[in-house]
Amino acid sequence: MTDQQKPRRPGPLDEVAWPAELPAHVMAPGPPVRLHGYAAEDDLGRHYGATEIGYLALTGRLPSEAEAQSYDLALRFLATLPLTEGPTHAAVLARLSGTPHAGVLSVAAVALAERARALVLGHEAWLAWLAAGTGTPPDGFAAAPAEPGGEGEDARSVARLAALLPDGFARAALARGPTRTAALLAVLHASGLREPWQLEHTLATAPLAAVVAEAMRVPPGAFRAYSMQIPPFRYTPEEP
Amino acid sequence: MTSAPIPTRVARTGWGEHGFMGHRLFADLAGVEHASGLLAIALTGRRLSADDQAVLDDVAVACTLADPRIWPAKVARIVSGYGRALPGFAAGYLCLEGALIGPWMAGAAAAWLGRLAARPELAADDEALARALDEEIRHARTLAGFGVPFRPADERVAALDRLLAARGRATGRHWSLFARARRLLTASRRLEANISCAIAAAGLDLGFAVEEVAALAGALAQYTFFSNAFEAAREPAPALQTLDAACVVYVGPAERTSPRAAAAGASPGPARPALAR
Repeated sequence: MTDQQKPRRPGPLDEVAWPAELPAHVMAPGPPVRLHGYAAEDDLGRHYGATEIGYLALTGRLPSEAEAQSYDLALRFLATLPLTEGPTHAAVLARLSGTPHAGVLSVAAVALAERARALVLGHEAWLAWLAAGTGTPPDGFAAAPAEPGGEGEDARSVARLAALLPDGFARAALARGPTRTAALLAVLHASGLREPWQLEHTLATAPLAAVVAEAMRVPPGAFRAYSMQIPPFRYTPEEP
Repeated sequence: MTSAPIPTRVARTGWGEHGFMGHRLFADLAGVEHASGLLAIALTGRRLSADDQAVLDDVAVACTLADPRIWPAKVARIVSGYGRALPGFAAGYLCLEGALIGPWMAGAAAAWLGRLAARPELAADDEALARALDEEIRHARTLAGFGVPFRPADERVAALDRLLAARGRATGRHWSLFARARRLLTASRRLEANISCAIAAAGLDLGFAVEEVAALAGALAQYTFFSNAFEAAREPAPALQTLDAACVVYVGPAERTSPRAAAAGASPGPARPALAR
């Protein structure tokens, strides 16, 4: 009998008393499948929209009318991310490289998640101010003043956002003249999304469809139609 | 095009020759470097001697624990279980992006090893080293690279110890410090070292900087993920696509009825998504 054929001794992972089941905290497998206790099809599927169900998934509770409206508004403002932005550029490159839709979707999701993580991290002080609900907002989150020639678009966008919000919603934060991103985080915060992961999730998933759609328009393998010099790199090897 | 060129040390495509981390790929590296040497160049730009490459090979072999039951490896298998290996490989790697397991733990171990190795008063004084270790543990409430789950000791550390000793390489400054720390912490706290700290000590002695050790440890995980992802893609396991329902127990909020469903009464009534109204 060779060593390969001998019965194996149990290893350390075989000798641990593991639990027999995996706990599920959000979705009861059913049937019927339930989300935070609500029947997914007979209840939520009949009476709630996708935005409200997404909100329920993230927070564990159904939104009020104002929360649902403001959350939906934030999703609409976050729903686009042009090719100038890294995640869209990455998704386009993935498609250009020939990856099928699943690969494009994966690349877009990872890049969007990383961008969202960095955005939320970069707004830590702003989010702490929102959570405190008092005091002076931290520096660094004010929109540039509107000027002719394109600058000030942040301020104009925030004004459009404020005009569409339910009365009084996130008013204190928006009155401080924040950047567009800071304003949208304030709206999400006021809507009841307080945890960094909830904010990251919303920032990452809201533009996912548009990002993937932009990429899927690119013919796989159309390498000559994509400039390798955008943006340019300069090889600067150090002496080994 | 308005942006300034992005400086890169990594590579440039040339005519008949390519630059890689400051080296000429064909003229300098081809036929000379092993895969482990190329990995060192990729992470640091520096070339390892043949002896050092052999040590890095030892580290790579000793740290490979690819049991598919281990969490990130199982993720690689679940994702690859639909028939394609690379998504699972990438997904497995994403699981390492945290401080609990994997490369960042090796990076954290390298940080304290580097700190203590830089203190000459600890070089030959075990009591002083024990105090310094206590300080590290008090400060971080744990010591990165120490603690072994599910078994009394990490067999990979012992294996790497033997391999380095056989090559006469168990006397490096960081490995020696690591060995003394192991001895002290086993005796005083019954705390055993795990492979993260061993990778850190060996990596530092190979000349990797503290901030490069996490990347080294991450790169060495490739064998775990490739093996699991490729096998799972070739041999999909239905149990990983859908678990037996008996494996899952729901512990979330109890069954409840939404306000709109309650208002609609027992009769299902018309669908009424609020935002579609």
